[in-house]
Amino acid sequence: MAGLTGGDAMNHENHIVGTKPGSILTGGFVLMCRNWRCLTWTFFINLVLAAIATLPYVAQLSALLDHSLAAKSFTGRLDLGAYIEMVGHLGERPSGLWNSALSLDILFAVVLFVFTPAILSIFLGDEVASLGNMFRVGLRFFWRMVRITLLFALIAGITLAVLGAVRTGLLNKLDDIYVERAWFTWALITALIVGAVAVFFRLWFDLAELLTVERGTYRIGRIEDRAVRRTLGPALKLFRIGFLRLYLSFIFVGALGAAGLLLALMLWHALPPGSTFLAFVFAQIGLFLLLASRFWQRGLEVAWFDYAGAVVTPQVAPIVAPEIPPSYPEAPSDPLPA
Amino acid sequence: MLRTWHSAALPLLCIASGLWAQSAATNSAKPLSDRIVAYTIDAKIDVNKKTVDATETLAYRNATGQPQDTFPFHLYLNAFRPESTFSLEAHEGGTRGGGENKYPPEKIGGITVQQLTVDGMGDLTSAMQFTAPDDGNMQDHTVMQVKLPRAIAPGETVTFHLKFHDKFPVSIARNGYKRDFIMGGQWFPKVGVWWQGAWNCHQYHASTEFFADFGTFDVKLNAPKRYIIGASGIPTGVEDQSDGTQTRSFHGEDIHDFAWAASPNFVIADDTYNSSMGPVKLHALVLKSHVDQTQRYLSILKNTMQKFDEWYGPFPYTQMTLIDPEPGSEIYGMEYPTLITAGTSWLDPAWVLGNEVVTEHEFGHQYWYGMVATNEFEDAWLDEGINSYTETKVLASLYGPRTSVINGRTVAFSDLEEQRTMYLGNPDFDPMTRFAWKFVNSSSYAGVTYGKTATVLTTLEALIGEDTMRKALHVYFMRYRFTHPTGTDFLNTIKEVSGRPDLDGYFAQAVSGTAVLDYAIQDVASNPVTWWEPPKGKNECSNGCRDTVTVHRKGDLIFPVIVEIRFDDGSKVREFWDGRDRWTRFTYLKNAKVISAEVDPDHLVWQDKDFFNNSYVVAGNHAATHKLANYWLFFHQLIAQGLAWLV
Repeated sequence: MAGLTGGDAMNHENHIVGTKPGSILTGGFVLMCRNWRCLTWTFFINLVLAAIATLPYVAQLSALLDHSLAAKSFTGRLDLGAYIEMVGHLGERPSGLWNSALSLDILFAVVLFVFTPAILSIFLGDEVASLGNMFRVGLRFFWRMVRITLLFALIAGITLAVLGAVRTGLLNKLDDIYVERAWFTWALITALIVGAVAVFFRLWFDLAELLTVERGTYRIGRIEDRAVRRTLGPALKLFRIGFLRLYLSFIFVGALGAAGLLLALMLWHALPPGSTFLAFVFAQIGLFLLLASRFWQRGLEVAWFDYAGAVVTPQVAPIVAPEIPPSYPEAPSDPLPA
Repeated sequence: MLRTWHSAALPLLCIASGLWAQSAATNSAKPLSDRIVAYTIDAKIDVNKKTVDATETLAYRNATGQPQDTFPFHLYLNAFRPESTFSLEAHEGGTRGGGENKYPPEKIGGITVQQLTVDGMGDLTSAMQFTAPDDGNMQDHTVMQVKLPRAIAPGETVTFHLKFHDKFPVSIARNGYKRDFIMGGQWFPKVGVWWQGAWNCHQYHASTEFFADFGTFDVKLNAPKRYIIGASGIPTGVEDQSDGTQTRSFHGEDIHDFAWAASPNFVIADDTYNSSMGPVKLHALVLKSHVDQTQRYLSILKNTMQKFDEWYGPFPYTQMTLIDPEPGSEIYGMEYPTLITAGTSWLDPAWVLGNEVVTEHEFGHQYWYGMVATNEFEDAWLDEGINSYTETKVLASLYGPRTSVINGRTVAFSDLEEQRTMYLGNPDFDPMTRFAWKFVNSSSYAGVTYGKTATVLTTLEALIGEDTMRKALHVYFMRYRFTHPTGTDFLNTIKEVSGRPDLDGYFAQAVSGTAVLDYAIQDVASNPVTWWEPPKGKNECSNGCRDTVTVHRKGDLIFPVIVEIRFDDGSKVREFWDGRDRWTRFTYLKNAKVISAEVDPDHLVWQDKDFFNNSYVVAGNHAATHKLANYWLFFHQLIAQGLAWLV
């Protein structure tokens, strides 16, 4: 039986196998669109959890505003003084509004510990995009995702903390020389540098997660590898083929998502003050576009992996059958076996 | 050619006509104040070491009516040491710019009086002693007193000669330096005030300002030529020195303090305002990084001066200097006689009126503090509070009553709301009349001194009317300018002008007390008169309804209010309630139901701590709730997605 390489063993029927790196953007986009259920389920849970977080806030607002003429301060142009007073009154009631809402925000992040590996698995073509599969597959990889995130927090956190401290020290020194616009320019440049490093870490660990899922999936001839730390090196190697192209594509997609959100906010801002329903619609469109860009990034990472993965996917030793001596003479003159 | 007698008569005629006596520093032919002090200061600024070496001659006229042999002096710069009362209070209770937790060497400032002599009494350097009249902290060093060998008789003038050395701290509490900008505020030994039968010379505290007598100032400031200097008073000369420095002279009259600011990065912009007393030169020193804000500064300065001139009284000085302070310093937003520091930012959009608010406020202090020179230690509300009130009036007049701080497309904020918000942050800890350093913390000091006073004076308009209030302030200014009035003087003026001696009841609660004002619509009900019968048709009140509106005085402050009740037949009624009882009920028998009830329908009682319970509308409207809920929903979805980036 011929030795199987990881690449040969993968069932990538759902993939657009990119032989050219330039197709990772479209490849990723197509993956996202084909598996649109992943995106919509994730967005739906994001909306539902935030809506639950909003319920106690709505209850308190109702008690304060629904029967008060002072509510007029909010239906037109927002009266900031009235808003500040309202927040003060909400703060007088011991309801833990903020804490309970934040808990639900954190819960969404926890849900993504489950969904992320499932989404990657689906993008890799190993699973069908359904909510049931997302939970089933995701729960299998849950603790591996947690471990990867802890590694991410440790490595990226320390590095970015050091960079941040260096930046702060530098800006304090520059404060003696530059003011206002000039100082702000330096602040912006250094923030972009730190941000660029942060993006690199995010992309690196995205690839590590991808490899964790890829390696952790049972395939014929493969032993499931649960050690997440062994994905960090190979994930780095994935950059070697074309770091800039991957990195810039990742940033480009993220920027598109942010631009989509910004556009939605601008449209929201342009609405007449009383248009609450349209404001809700624009807000949700913006948030959906932002989330979609994240899925697109995952898609392009999978497309990149398809292009570059064969180089770094661990090769399993081929199964070679031992030579079996013939059990019968091949020629009439050959001696009989002992 | 003039005959000889013409030559002799001409000067006499000029004196008689007042021409020779015309002051260059004021548009007045005669002194405006009872000049107690005359300072002559010669100072050399070391811009590298951030120090000043100076000599000061102080001629003090004893107008106390008693012999005086002990004179206290403020040495404010000594507050910038960790052992001082100021530093301890700032560390524990906060101050402008936040509480101080560290004291690196560059933050330490100080003033050393190296020598003190008195004409006719010799060298009294060794007779100087630090005192601590407020808290007994003998390490404070912000008050020094000297006992003379012989007393100065009433009416006699004593002349002090001091030699002193200043070390400026890095920018802290409106003083010090930042980069190459140096602010000379409270930089010279300043004699205390004999007030109400005793010396009034308080230590410098984290939340106190200043108090001094009126007089004249002649100050020479020597600094490198590249430095541009703005100062109180008017410039009287420039002299180049052989060492490459320049000595600039300034003269001020009928002022009680002298400050200066120096920077090589100033751009000068001058303008003129024609006050009712004569032209005033507006001298703006704006940093190069803010040059595009120059016209905003000058415009608000002129507009404010016009309002004050029109409403309260004339501005008598011939020059008003505006300093644009160094970014990142704590030197913004401060007042000195005829000199203010404003504050702006390169990011300041036109629809956020921060520049205007600060400039207006600091100019307003030229009246409330500069000319009506109240004791800022003991009656801080009389300058900060009255100034905050007039600030709300001037800004509302210029930029609209609802948009005088922020005038955005989707958001609006007024200065009066800002004052009220400050007040509501700390409504019931301290009365307005508390000595400035005795507030529970800096937040309460700011909230009560600025915010509560402005809110209380606005609420007072509900009792006496806005026009009467303006007239009262005009009378107060004209009567007490260039003197040191008290809170009693101010309140008595209001009662006198309004013809309302009964205002004492309100003043006792609002000014001297900490009672909070809060009225609420407790409930609204419309019940059929024949409640035991089933309703005939859709209109429950076809046979008459008993409509009741209950109003509750939740706060302890008693204040008369108007309550407006509207019915579904289109009628409305306004009721007066004196607020003395804890609640009251209005009852009507009508063929109509109540649809809404509102306390203070004209929105005059700004001191009410809760505007949301002032009204009740029977038919609820969820529009505001839904709109705000949408923001909350969006915000939390965004946070959740942001947290998910960590996964």
